[in-house]
Amino acid sequence: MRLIAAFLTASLALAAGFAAFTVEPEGDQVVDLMTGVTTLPQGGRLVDAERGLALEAAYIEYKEGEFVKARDARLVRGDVRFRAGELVYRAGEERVVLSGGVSLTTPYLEGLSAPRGVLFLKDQVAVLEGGVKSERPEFSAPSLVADTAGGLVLLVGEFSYRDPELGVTLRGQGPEARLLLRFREDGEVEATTEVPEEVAARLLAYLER
Amino acid sequence: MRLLALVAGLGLASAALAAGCRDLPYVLESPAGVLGGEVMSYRAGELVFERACAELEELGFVAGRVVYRKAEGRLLAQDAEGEIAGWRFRAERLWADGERVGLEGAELSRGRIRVRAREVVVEGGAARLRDLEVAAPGYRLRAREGTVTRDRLVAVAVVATPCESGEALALAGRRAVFDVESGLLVFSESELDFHGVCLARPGELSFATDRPLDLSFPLRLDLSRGLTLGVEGLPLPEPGRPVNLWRNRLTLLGKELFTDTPSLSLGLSSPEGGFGVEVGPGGFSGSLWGPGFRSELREDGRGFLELRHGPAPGVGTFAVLVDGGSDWLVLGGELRTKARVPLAGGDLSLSAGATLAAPLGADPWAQLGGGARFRRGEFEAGVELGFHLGEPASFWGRERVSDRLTARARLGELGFSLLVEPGRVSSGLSYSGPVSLRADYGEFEDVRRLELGLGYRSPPPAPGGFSYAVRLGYDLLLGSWSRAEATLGYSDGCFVYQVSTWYRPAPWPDEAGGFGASLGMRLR
Repeated sequence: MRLIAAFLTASLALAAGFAAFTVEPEGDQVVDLMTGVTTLPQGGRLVDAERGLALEAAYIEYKEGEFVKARDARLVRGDVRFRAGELVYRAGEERVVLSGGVSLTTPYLEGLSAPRGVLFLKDQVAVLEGGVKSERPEFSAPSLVADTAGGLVLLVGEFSYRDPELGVTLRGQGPEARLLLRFREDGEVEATTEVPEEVAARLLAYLER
Repeated sequence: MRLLALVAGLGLASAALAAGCRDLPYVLESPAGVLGGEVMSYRAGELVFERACAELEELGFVAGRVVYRKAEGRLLAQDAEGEIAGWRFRAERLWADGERVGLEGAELSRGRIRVRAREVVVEGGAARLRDLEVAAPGYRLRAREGTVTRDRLVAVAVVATPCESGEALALAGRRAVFDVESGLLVFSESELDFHGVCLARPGELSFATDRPLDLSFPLRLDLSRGLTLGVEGLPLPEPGRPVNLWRNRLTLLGKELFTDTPSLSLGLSSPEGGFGVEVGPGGFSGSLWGPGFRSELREDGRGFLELRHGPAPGVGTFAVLVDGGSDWLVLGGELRTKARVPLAGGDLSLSAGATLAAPLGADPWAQLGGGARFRRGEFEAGVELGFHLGEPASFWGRERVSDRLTARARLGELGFSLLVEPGRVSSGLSYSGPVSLRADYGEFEDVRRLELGLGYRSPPPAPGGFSYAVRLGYDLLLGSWSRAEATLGYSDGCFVYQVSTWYRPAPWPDEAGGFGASLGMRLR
């Protein structure tokens, strides 16, 4: 269950990191005085030294207080690395849209990936969809919704979890399969396939947005 | 997640898994098998499957709830039903740890054998049982402990009884083995007790569990015409053969003792053959039969020999017959055949026979006959017709030769019968429920009878209880009571003891008249 905790940490870090940052351009830094948009066409780093957070990208475009766009982006905080083909943050919507392939690596987790994802910053909810996969531990689900504030993660659709040490695989079968993970403050994790109706309705709604 | 690692640790090989379990919404798979459920949860070190099933090679079950306690390394299930080592089981509780599977409040079944046990522990492909009770058709068995494998059940310190309740008749053995394949239950170092009194120590004794245990007591005590006392068809032990398949039967009867016509009968029979002799005031008679032959010597000095051969099963038989004495000889031949055909959802049996007899010094005669019988569900009907050509001897072998028509029909509790032959016509209608009604009509030579009968039979006696039956008959043509009969039964939970008595002021032919009484005893 540690992979989910790592994912939540990274999501929160990303969301918090856009509050204040310094800019380290790789090449040019172009400022459009008419629009106020700053572009780093050769990429560079946005660094939040206070939180130890760095966004590295091959191309960055941002306007303070409004949006950040990045391509081939890597978000690094300590030993947590988060990658996305494209990253778009809009302060007004308070959401980060990730596309073009999303991946996350932590000491407890290798190769968690999905084609796309959305971070709902205000609600502290992260969604990965289009086929979520993890290499270590071996894990897959069509979609995943993480409620970081509530300590909940919902796997949606036909999922599997394989433990190579024990040689066992847990499967949820069919599109209606669900697995709700609840991360308690004492570090224990609870899991159930019987998802309370109000929780299912609230979390599944993020897949529609 | 250590659940199936645990199950793999039971020493059970991987297997083709049942699709039913694998298709459940949530499944945990391992090389050892699959655990599935409609709902799964994990909390505080407990992995729970609801409406669950498990399928492995030697252990498969469904249960309302299966819990794996991580700290104890133990699997628990409630109200589990499944199969283990080829036996179906139901258990109030099932548990499994790294090496063993346990069942509590369990019932195992295989075919018609049911085993209840306080505790069952499965280890290494065998199930060890404590305080077990075995129920098989016709008998019960209890034992202190036992072992169940795919092939057999072995019980130690065993007491078996055919009794419905109690153990009035019991077979106690050091050990009993039930072989699943053959259906044989074999006792060793056994002792047969009747009300605690040792009747025999047969050593090794076996039952065929797929056959009924017919222990009708062959004692015959009849007081209707003098005293008749003895055993009739007493099974004789056959070493190495199951008790209920003993085929050799002994008959030793003193008939009509204390009258002026006493006689003594002795007979021994088996499926292969036998003999019987009877000594009475009129002399000696006897019979001897075996595969393909039957011979009789009658009191009047005449003898009968039949040599019969059937070329193939179900086709029919033909026979050569000799009947005669010092002044009388008849040579004969006989053909009999029968066939069964399905008809209108039922079963039609047809039979036909012809006998040709050639008395020396007299004209030959022939007897022809045939019959048909139909059965479908509760309905059964049959008709038989026989007639002769020429003038036969009145007896042929032991059978009376006569033109004859018989018919019978039965539908549930309703019955009908008809017999027509020279000098005799009889027919009857009956209803044989707890309350029985009969109407019988007969013409015998110069006597005509029309008897109405009313009877009542109570249900079979419960253990420690009584049953009774009464029957009254009134003859409309004679204008008088024709019979009063009563039977009283008592069950000790094992045997039913019966005493019957009757008074028949106007008996029918072939029926004993006057006062009479008999005693009987049969298992349950």
